Amino acid sequence: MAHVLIDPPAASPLPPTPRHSLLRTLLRDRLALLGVVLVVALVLVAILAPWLAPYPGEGRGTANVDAADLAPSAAHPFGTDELGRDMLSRILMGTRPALLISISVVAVAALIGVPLGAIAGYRGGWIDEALMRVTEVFQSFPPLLLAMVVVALLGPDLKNAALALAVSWWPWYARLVRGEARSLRERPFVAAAEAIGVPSRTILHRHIIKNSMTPVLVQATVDVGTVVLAAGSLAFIGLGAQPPAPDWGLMVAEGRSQLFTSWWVSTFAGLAIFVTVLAFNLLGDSLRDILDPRKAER
Amino acid sequence: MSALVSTSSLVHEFTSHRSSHVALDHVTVEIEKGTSLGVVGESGSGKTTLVRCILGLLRPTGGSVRFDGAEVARMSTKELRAMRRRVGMVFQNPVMALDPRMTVEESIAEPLRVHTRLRGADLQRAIGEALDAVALPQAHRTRLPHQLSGGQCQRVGIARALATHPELVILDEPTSALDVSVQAQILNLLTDLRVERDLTFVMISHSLDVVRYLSDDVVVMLQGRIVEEGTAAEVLAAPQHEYTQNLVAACPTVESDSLRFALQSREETSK
Amino acid sequence: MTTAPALLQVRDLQIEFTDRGRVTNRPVRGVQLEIGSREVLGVVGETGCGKSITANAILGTLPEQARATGRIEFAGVEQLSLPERERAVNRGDAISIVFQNPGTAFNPVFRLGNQMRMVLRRHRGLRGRAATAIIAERLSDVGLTDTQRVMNAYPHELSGGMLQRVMIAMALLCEPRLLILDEPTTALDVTVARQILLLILRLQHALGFSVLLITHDLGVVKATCDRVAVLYAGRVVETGPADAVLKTPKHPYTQGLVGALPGQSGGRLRSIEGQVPANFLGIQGCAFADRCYAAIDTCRQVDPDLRPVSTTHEVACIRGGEL
Repeated sequence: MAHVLIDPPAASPLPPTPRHSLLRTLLRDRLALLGVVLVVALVLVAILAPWLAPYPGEGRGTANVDAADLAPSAAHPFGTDELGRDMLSRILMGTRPALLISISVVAVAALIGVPLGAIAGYRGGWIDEALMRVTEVFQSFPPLLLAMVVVALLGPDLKNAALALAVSWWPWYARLVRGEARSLRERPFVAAAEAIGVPSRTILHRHIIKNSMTPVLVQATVDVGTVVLAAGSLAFIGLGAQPPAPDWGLMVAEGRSQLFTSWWVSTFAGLAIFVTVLAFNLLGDSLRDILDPRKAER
Repeated sequence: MSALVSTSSLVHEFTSHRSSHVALDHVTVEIEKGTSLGVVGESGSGKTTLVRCILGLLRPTGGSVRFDGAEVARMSTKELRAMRRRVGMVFQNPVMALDPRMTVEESIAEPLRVHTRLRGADLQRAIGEALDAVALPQAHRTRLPHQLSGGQCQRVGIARALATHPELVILDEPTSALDVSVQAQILNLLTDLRVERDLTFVMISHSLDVVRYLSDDVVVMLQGRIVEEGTAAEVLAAPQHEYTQNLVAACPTVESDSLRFALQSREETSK
Repeated sequence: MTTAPALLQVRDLQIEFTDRGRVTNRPVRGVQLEIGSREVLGVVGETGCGKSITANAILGTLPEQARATGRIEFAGVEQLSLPERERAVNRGDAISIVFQNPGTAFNPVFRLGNQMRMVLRRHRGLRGRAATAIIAERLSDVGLTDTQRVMNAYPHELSGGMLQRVMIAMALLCEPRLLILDEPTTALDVTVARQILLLILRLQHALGFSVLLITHDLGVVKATCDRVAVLYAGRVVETGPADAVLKTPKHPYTQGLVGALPGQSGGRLRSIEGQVPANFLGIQGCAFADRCYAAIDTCRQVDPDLRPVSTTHEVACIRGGEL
């Protein structure tokens, strides 16, 4: 069939594969590399905490009153709290719950928000109007206040705190994806798919959602850090994790009363939150560049 | 010969809350099987609206569109889909008309998945044939649009339009985004495919040279109405309507005289 | 043809893109151009041949990672060695540019009159009534007689053709000696495009500036240009009077471009096989050799310079005389 053609183009050389360029981006951009290293370290700590922590039992909450309020030393690098628990162990053991809660909050929020936003943006009309008014109602409450209401209704524990955070987080994803979907809807390739006769449900997931995933992934990564902070705040005011759970927010709260005598309790817990937020922010920023299919090769 | 597509007194009016705008004003065209019709006009002349009505993407306000004898506006969703299988469409901007995250084979598979039951190895074979037909190497299957040149993207666009073996192909400015040498490759390819597969073409274009090259018949549209129609050779060689005359005069070609002569002679007459 | 000293002379212009000290591409590889006063020069070539970046180099608006070497002499003054501050003084004044897409070349949130006033304030220090008078004069020059309404309009309120007129008026505010037109009619409908081309020629005749017209449309070149330079892969491969180059092209690339046009005759179109290389770094010998119907072994070793085939017509092809 191709015999009639005078100009069969030869296969032009293939540009470098994305994986190759991911490595290159990381090596070029120090901050991105720092973000990746920190996040990998956090995940490793979350997995290996029971083996890394010098006193895993104390990390989980077992008191050891004989060693209460010890300043940082070789035996206890981060000191001990008023119940004599090794702070380093507490913080290491707190990594896993912090990341688990935060990742599940973001996952639930995205799972609700992304499809709703895509439908609203692609379909438009009254569906769009209705969904957007609902998100506005949710967004007009400060997230922490909304979470407090949910926790007050369901009772303070970690699961309810997570649920509360997911409830206040999904509208952001819905609005983000809606904006993307509205501009994608006008792009020629969507018009092309419509002209071919592709059903709108398929267009929605194959063209609209897939093409709006870059900002969602970036936002979700940054949010993993932000939710750690929010969950910490809930725990700090007593509406999240309950003692003796190894929760960073709780630790900051527990150390608050002795901030001037045992500064290390709140400080190291707060630093853990800070490092986590920073790590996911850096990673999110570098993902933005890496995930763009065109930018990837420059 | 029977008409594959015909419109009679087609009217389409866009209404927004304040104003209304007549995009198509009693347009009647007949497109015989195996012929190639060029639709010429400037932006806002209703060319695109006409094509969208033929595809059933827009509902006409008045008049009718018939595809192979059947009224498009009365078709059920199922019939409409069956019709679209018989129509392929090639778009103006070849790079933008492809999903940036879909590989060449995924893009070509899309109409096949929608309109045929081909799956697995059969689907792969059909994709391979479509690539052969437009002379794209099989190695390009896994490329993304930005890894291809504009001309290669347009070949993918044509492969996708022809994958389901349609009878009618709608070409929306198929070469206006391409360089001349690439345009020549694509025009040659389209001519070959038309002969090989006995295709019917409807092409929107503002380039009279391209229309003269690819079309048997031409309709000239102005503000939603057909102001002139006939065989491409006749209309473009001896345009009757003033607008067509302007259009023909306005197209600069290598063979035409320099505008400077026009300018000088005009200045002399005005003096 | 041009016995007077040229207004613009580009000699062996090379542009390199670098990334952290490493050369990543060389989009311009020794371009030679010359524009006499009151001359219209067309620069043609396909996408990615280096047309626009050459114009950027002449204007002094190259991107940060680009480095230009060679000579660009404008009105007898070498430009590349001038500090950026002094080059900026020329921009929009003695040299100005009209872009392809009038819809995106204006700032959408300012009235057109204000955008034009900024040019006069920057280059002439004019404000208020004096500026308004010049703007009104230029607008009526480009055929926009309702000057008050145009000046008060926002860009989206005018059609593409009208906006292109405004852009031309704006480019002419300071009476430039060289006007660069980057695909000035590509985004416009054909009848509007013809009006714009006629307008440019009429203004050029009346005001006496020189024009560098970048286009991929050989028809536009034929309609407007005195001379033409054909660019391929960052080099000028053929240059000469527009009539001669288009009627009897000597370089196989120009021949291909002319032959690829679907003209009156019908029949199979001659197309050029393959495509412009994406990167010009590794090119050895003549860059066109791989796509050329007449290439011989020597073509892959020697990169030919421009050589005259007549008094005004030059070709960079070792077989240039015989083809």
